[in-house]
Order: sequence, then C-alpha cells, then structure tokens
Amino acid sequence: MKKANSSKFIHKKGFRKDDISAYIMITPFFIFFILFVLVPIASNFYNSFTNYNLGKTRNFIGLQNYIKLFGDKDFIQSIWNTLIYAVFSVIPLMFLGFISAIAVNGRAKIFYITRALFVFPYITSMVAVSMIWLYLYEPTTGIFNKLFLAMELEPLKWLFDEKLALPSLILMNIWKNMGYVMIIYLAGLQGIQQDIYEAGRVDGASDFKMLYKITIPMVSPISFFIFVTTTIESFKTFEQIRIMTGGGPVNSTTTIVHQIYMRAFSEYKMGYASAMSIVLLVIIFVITMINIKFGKGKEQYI
Amino acid sequence: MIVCSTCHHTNFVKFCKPKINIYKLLTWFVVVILAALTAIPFLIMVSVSFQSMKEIYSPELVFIPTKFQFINYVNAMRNGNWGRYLFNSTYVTVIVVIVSLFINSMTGYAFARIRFKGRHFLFILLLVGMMIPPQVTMVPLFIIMRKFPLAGGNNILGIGGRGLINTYSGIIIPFIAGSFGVFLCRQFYMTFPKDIDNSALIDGCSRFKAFTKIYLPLSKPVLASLGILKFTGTWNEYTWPLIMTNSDSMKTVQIALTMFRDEAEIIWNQLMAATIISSIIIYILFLSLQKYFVAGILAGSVKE
Amino acid sequence: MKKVISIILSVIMIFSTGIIFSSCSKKNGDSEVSNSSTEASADLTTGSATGSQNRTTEGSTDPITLTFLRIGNDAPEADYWKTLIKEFEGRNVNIKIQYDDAAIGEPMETKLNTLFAGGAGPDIIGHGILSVANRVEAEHYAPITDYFSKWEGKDDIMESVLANGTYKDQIYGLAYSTTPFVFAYRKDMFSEAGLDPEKPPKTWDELKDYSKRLTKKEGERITRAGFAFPMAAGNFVEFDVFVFGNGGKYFDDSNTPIINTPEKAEAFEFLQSFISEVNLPYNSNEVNPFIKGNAAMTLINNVALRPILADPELKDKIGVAVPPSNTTKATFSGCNMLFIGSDCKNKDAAWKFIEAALTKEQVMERSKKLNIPVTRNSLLEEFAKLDPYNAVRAECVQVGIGMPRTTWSPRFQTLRNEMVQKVLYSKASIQDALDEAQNKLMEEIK
Repeated sequence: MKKANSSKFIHKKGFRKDDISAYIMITPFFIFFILFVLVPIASNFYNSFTNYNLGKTRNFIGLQNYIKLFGDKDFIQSIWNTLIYAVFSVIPLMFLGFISAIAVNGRAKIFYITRALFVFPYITSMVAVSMIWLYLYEPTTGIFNKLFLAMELEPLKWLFDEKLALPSLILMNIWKNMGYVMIIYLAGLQGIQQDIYEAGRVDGASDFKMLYKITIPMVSPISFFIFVTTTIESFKTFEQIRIMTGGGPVNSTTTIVHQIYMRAFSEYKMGYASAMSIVLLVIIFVITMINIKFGKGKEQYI
Repeated sequence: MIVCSTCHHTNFVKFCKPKINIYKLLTWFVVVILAALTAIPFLIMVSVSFQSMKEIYSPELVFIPTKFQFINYVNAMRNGNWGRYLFNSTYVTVIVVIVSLFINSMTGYAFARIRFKGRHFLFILLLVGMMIPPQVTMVPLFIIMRKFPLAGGNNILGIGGRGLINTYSGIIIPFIAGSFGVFLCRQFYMTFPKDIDNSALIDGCSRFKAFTKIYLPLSKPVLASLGILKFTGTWNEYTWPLIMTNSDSMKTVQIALTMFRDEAEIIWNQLMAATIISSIIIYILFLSLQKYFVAGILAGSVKE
Repeated sequence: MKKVISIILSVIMIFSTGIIFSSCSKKNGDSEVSNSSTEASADLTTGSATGSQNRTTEGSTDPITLTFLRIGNDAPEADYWKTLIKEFEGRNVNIKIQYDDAAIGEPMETKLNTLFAGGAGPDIIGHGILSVANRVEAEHYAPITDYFSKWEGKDDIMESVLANGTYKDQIYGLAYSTTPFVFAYRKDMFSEAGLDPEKPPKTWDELKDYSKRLTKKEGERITRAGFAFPMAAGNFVEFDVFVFGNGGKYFDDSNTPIINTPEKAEAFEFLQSFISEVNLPYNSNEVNPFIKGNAAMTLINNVALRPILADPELKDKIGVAVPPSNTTKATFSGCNMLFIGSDCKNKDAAWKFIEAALTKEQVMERSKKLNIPVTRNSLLEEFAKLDPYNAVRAECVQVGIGMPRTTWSPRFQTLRNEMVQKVLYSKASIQDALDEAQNKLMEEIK
C-alpha cells in the first residue's frame, strides 16, 4: 500500500506539534490506566518475588516462587489444559463468528432476528450460562443425555468424564462467545468502502474471490483484535471452572487462573499466585507478539 | 456487498436478480444450524423460568410446563430489594459506557492515525494491561481505592476513612481504565483509508478537529459495538462490585443473582426468571442499536 | 531492536513502581477510624455514604457502627439476621450493625481476604471451620477466650461444637449454626424391597446389602440408585463420613497430617466394592439424586433435605438416621461461627452482639425458623419435641467431626478431593493415591 502523503509531518527530531496533540488526546485515558491498572500490576509483579500471604507477611524471597512453579505438577497440568482450551476455542470462534457476520450483514428483518439470536448467549452472564449448561450436561436428568436416549444413542458422562470434561467446557465457551466475534466483525465490515467491491466486480471477480482478496485483508486489523482478545479471555478462564467442575475430574479442567485463585484465596499464598500470573502474562505476550510478527508481512498493524 | 436500492437485500450477487448462489446457500446452511444450536439453551432457560420446582426435579424432560407460573417472576423480584439492585447496576453501567465511549474513541484514534513518539511502547503497555488476570490485581487495586486521598473520610494522604469503598465511583473507575475499548477503536480506525487524514490536513483541520468532525460521525458502528460490549461487560461483572460494596443497598444485579441458592438448593425457576429480566435490558439496547451494524453507511464518504 | 528496548524499559518501570507502591501500603497501626459510615443515606452524585466519623471510646454514648459479614446469602437466613439486628439495635441504642453477606465459597473468601488485605476487615464475621486456622495465623480473627470465660453459656455449649472454634488453646469462634451430614433413606422404597422401613442400615455390610437390593436397572443402565454417592465435588465430605466411621482421623495431636493410614484404605476398599453397581453419579454442587427421587439412600447435608421434606407427598416417606459405621459412630458436621475481626475497634460492642445471638431463645428461634440443630445441651429436649427426627439430627451434631483445624486444611481439601476422584475413576491404586496425597501435603507444610 502506498504510504500517506505526509509532507507536512516530516520526521524531525524532538517533539512535533503532532506529537503534542496526540499526547493530549491520550492523557485522560492514561491517567486512569496508569493509576488503576498499571500500578496494581506493578504491585503484583513485586509480590511475585515475595511470600505475601494477604496478611502481615511480605518478605522478599527472590526467585523461589518461580523455581517452585517448575515442579508444580498441578500448575503444569493447568498450562496444558489452558492451551488446549484456548486453541480449540479461538479458532472455531473466529471462523464461525466471521461466517455469521457475513451472513447476517444486511437490513432485512430476518437478519435482525438472527443477529439477536446469536448475540443472546454473549450478553447473558457467565454465572447464569454455567448453571444452564450444568443442567444440560447432567448425566441422568440433563437434556443432552435425554435427547441422546431418545435418539437411541449411548448417553455420555460429560463433565464427569475426564476426557470429555474439557471439550464440554470448550463447547460451551464457543457457544457463549460467538456473538461477541460476530458483533465486532459486523462493525468491521461496515468500515469497508463499497467502491472497492464495485471495482472488483468491474474486474470480473467472483464473490468468493472478493471475499478472499478484499474482505478478509480489509478486516485484518479487526481479526487481529479478535484473535488477541479471545485468546486473552480464553487464557483467563475461571468462573465457569469454579461453578461447573471445580477443576476436576482429576485436574482435567483446571486452568491457570483457577490455580491462581486456589493458591491466592484458598491457601493464602498470594506471592506464589502472583508468580503464576506473571508466567501467564509471559505466555500470552509471546503468543501475541508471534501473531504480530506473522501478520506484519501482510498488512501494517503498528 | 451491495445494498440494492430496489429490493433492499444485501447479497453477493451482481444484479438484483434472484439467483441461486452456492456460497450463499452454504453460508446460510451453517448459519441456520448455528441459530438452532444457539436457541436451544435459551429456550430451556425460558421454559425453566415458568416451571414449578417439582417439574424441574422430575426425571422426565419437561419442555413445556403444564402451568405457566408467572408467579416465579414476581417471587424472584421479591427476593431482596431488586428495585435498588437494578438501579445500581444501571447507574454504574450507564456512566461507564458514556465515559468510555468518549475517552476510548479519542485515544484509539490517536493511536491509529497519529504517528507520535512512543506509540509502540504505549500500545504494548495497553496490551499488557489486559493480560493479567483480575484475581491478582484485585487486592492492590482495592487498597488504592481505600486509600484514595480526599474521599470517604480520607485526608490528603489517604488515611483515616474508607476511601472509595461502598461508593459508586469506586465501582465505576476500574471499568473506565480498561484497555479493551482503546484497542478496539484503534483497530477500527486503522481500517480507514489514509487519504482522509490528508483531506483534513489540506482543509486546515487540527488533529482534534479531524477527530470530531470527520472520524466521529463515521464511528457509529464501532461506537455501537463498543457500547454494547462495555455495557455487557460492566453489567455482568460480579467480583469487583462484590468486594467494593458492603451493604445491601449497594448490591448490583449480578450479586443479587447469587442469592437464589443456599446450602440446600438452587431455586432454579426464580433464578432463570431473574436472569432473563436482567438480560432483557441489554437485549433491548442491542436491538435498538442494530441499525448501526448495517452495510452501506460509509458508501461515498471519501470525496476524491 | 526498538521493540527489545521498549520491553526492557517497561519491565524496569513496572518493577520500580511496584517496589515503591508496595512499601507504602498499609502497615497495621495506621491511625484509623473504622466506623465512619452507614449505608442508609447514599448520596447519589458520588454515591458515598454519609455519616459521621466517630472516635470511639469504651463506655461512651457516641454511636458505634459495626460491620457484620456472614457467609451464605440466602434470603431466609438474611431475614433472620436483619430481625435480630433490629431487635438488638432497639435494646442498644448507641450500636448500629451494618449487615452484609456473601455467597459460600469463592465470593466469601475473595471478599474477606481483600477486605482484610486492605485494612477494612469486618468487625463481626460469620464463617466456617475451614477458615479458623489460616485466618488466625493471618491475624484476621481476634481471640475471644476472655469473653467466653465470662459467658453464661460456657458450660452449656456442646463440646464438639466448641472444639470447632478452638485453635492452639484459644477460642476464636462460637457456633451459631451446624450442618451435620445425615443418612437419609426412602421408607417406601424400603418396604417395596422387603426391608423394614424403621430399620435403616447401621453397619457397612448392611449398607452394601441394602443398596444392592434397592438399585433399579434398565438393562445395564441404573435408573434408581440404591445408594447415591458423589463422583465429583467441591468437597468430598461424604468420603470423610466413611473414614470417621472407621475410626480414622486426618491429623494427629501435633497437627501433622496422617492421610495414608489403614482406616482410609479400608474405607476406599469398601466403597470400591459396590459403589459402581448402585450409584447414579452426581456432582455434590448439584442436586442430590435423592432429592430428585432417583435414589433410595444417601448421605446428605441436613439442610439440603429441606425441599423434599417440604413436599407434602414425600414428607412421610423420608427417614433420617445416623450414618452407618464400621467401628465408631460418627459423621461429618460443618459449623458456622461468629468471630470478631482483628480490625475491630469496639470489641466489647461486638461481643455484646455475639452474646445476643447465642442466647437460648435465639438458638431455639434459629432451629424453628431455619431448621438448624441446637448447639446447647440444655435445649436438646425442647429441640427433640419440634420434629420426630430432631433427636437424630442432634445426635449427628454430637458425633460430628468437622474439617481439620490446621493451616493446611484448604490444601488438604484439594488433595483429598483429588485422591478420592483418582480412586473412584480407577486412575490409581488406593495405596498410591493415599501416599501421594500424604506426600504432597507434607511437602507443603515444610
């Protein structure tokens, strides 16, 4: 893509007038951000090198927490679980969300109804959704198994089966968040200039080609956003684990944040939990950076 | 996609001729299945909200209750002070959304369109802000709220009173500080063609003016999405209001929803009824903002 | 290169901010007044509660506000406390109690820990056994041994119940409610199977035998459980009932864990020998199949029986008994107690409220209103008169044992759950699972 004709804003050393406008515009947000997000994070970072127990003890102990993490089997299991959960949630979510956004992008009444339907799981609280799905997954009186029986299929143990528990949770996650992806893709699709499609049609492109060559690249900043936010959200999964499985059976559904919660609030080992959160941060950060590098070849993100 | 002015359908088809398009059919097939799957749990929720507890416990599947117990909805609202809870949630959420919309779009615009010094670093900082789970930042944040100078009986050093605990501001502030909205606006504004800035520049606009006169009017889709998402996120947030409030009159809807269970049982029907009532508000908001998600608004926005 | 520098810069910045911030955080002993606000008149613009700041001196007539946080947020009990508070405030004009509650589990723990970490701990706390050891060590609870020695009920309170609030020879909490696990069974299903409905199983062998006779199957699938036992749980106390009933304990006199002793292995062996043939798996966080009518016998929290006992059709068909045991009559009994928070500046006033909540009248009031078994010996007779099964419930409280009162009990809970699941799902041999739990726990304690 051609670079913008920015003759007035030539790169000069020192602060330009442009920079100053930018700084003014971002200041209101950054005041909040620094005070109420960064400072707690910094405090948390510091805590990870201490043995803070939510009480009077907060002594510096260096890297002991981190060393302990390497040998913590439950924690390592949770990393593995979380990775699987994230991969198998994010990819279907982006795919399904994108398709539904394209399909319901229009003014007709039927689209209104379909959009409203898709977004409902997302706007319902996670607590309520977990309870509903607990009800659905119940092995003896739950709806799914009742349907299975009616269709003469073997009923499954769902959340009680250590091989099925995690996939069951993944399924629920996809169901819940599809609406979110759809909304954002819809907004992104509006940002595409219709003239481009005109030009494409004049050149004789088929619909599918236009999708591939125009739509997808043009929403790539949005795709990046969705990828990062759904990945981060998947890695921060906690509420539904607590309500639906408690990390079991046999630790097959414990996630990193679930471990963090157990250590911090159940066992009062806040320092240790902080170290876990830093490890989580590093993992997510690395994944995000890989995605940025990967995307740089195609389109300018930053 | 084109908005066809004569038949008001949007489709991939070149001309407004009803034509069977394979890709459209496939897409529609997937969508119909998805819609059905999405609907089932929702229908169950509605059904349960009208059942009696006996029906809920029975071993057979009861899809349509024998008697529609509207009383569940009444009882649910009597379980505590729901008028107050709904007001609290609404007040907090509305303030968060209004402030966020403005601040986030302005900041997102700056990141997307102005090549200012330090934007890489600050952007990464933004991302990092989202990557830490709230469980570990809650305690330091709570301490900050408690020691907020000149609030709730605190002197200038933040000592003496309760700070922002059990106040609306205390609940609202962390939601405004989230980087999610800034990130979304930035990505959205990055999809705009580069020439818009130049046109504005030639017309003699300052960056801020360009933002308010050109970008904002075109931001309806992203503001609508951000509005819905921020509203949903704030309305459904449970943990932060839980620890920031310590009296019944400050409880929010999410906290009140947990009151339907005790050691003995979960009062499913009332819980579902209350959840539906609580979700309806967001739902109405979404339905009214739907028109901003529709194609064609930006057609012809850039004058060549 | 720029990116690497950005990253290094941010790390340095964050770390230094963290250190600076953390060293400025609250140390105990800041001069503060904790009772500065009431919630009644909430100012809508800032939402801050208006109220007067008060320096309180003992014995003065300045108004005192105490915060009371209770575990569990169900409406019936909330109403009970609000009524009591009104009554109490009527009799003690200068004391106001601000009532608050939080759901059992994560909400309560998160809230309480955050409040204390921020120096804003509640004055009176209603919480369970699991919290005692850790919160005493973390200096959240204040000892009330002195108050107790002057209390009118000190000889009347049940020993098992008093033990629950004791830690390292100091008393911290006094019980206001107990939740024993009872053995519940369906008399009608007993008669149907040819068993005497007035004679529930008392020994393990009887339990196994009866369960097999009461199980209904459709081909290979079990449709009615002879004995319902959870396969997933937040807390596998049902397993503890078998351990205690076999004379086993989880910790010895020096508070060291003893998980892998033979009593537990025997309990596991017993369970494994028949449970898969008679059980409908459920998660102890959900409704017990017994309540749904799908099981003939089960171990269940006394409170959880309420829905089925409230059903006029089923009420007379339910029987309640002390759980069957092998060597010792025992069961699991949880207990909620009133504690005084260490941040409290008016401990005398707080104790006044606790006293008021634990009078004989109030204990009976709670049993009538909330179906909570009594905690005072002198009331046993009166309690038994209220309901035919109350004598059984009271017995369960007397032989009830709670979670270990040690600092490692939360970790123990996690490991015990893991261990039980491993054995039930046949992921490990009994001895291996027991040893693993013991070793992991010992490591944590070091």
